Amino acid sequence: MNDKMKIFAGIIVFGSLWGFSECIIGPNLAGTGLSSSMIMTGFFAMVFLTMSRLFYKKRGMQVGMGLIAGSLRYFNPFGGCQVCSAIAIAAEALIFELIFDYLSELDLNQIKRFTTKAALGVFTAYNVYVGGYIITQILTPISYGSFYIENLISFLPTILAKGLPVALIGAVTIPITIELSRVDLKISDKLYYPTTIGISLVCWISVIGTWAIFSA
Amino acid sequence: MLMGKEKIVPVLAILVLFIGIASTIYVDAIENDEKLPENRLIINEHEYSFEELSKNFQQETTETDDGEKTGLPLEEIIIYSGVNCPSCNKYTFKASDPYQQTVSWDDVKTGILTYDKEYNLRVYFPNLAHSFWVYNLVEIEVSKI
Repeated sequence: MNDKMKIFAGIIVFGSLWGFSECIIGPNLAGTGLSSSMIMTGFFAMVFLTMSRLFYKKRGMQVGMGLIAGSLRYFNPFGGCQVCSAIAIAAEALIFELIFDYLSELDLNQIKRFTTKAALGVFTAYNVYVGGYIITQILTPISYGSFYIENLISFLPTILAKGLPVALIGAVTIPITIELSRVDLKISDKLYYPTTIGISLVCWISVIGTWAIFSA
Repeated sequence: MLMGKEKIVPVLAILVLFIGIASTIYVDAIENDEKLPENRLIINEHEYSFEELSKNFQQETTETDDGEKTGLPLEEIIIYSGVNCPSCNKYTFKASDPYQQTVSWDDVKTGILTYDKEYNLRVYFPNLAHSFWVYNLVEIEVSKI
């Protein structure tokens, strides 16, 4: 099977799953009073990004996933700001990619100590969330021609503080994802494309269908 | 190199935890510092209550991508607060947390001010992203462009 096509299908399926979580699960979490953006980044984003990195071990794949998930989020009928969320998702993927690029020699499957895996979760989740938040606070006002640096500076301590619970969620999520990825879940070549295309289609149809129902 | 990176990760994690904790303490301190009574805000250095503004201005309804919103017209409120040349200024909407966004007079003219239990005082600008819809509003600062 063509490796490039296999990775491309992986980007689509993991990006779609991430986008589906952001569009369908996220707004329902917000309805329960939980901070949905923190859980979305600390849990869902970390799981999909780490899992895809461990399965495929390919650079650049997570940025592609971010673009897919961000596009899907753009169709979401619920929640606050679609543009801001789409930008945040793409930025989060980029930051994850940069962190894991820096750690590229570190074979995640070979890390033995739980504290190292938890520390990796803390560092990655915190930076992905805070970085994504900051980039959104810059790019959204810029897209409306109304960016003022003093607004970002005044809110910066709050953004840095909001990253703390996300870091703690990441401390649990990433070690568990690393452990789960050790389970051999190989799909035969015959089933790979039907499975990835099927899952991706379900995600896209659910989100666009929900959008169509609520905008009718 | 491999061992070096495995050792540096916990150090980086401790560093971000320290930044997060220090920021939380700082934000908590400034939030409790100077709180206006609920339902009141400062506009152009004058303090008003929503009731007071409601007596002076008629509510109007505006269509947003989040449905219809009813509130007081920001354009009239700003002029009422004593701004002489509205188009010569920019307007910064400050929340209690302290989130803030700055908009132009053209945007202010489309905006409304609302009050409810969930978001306290909030502004809506139908033509801007939701991140400009500042809630828990405590001040509208007027400054020269």
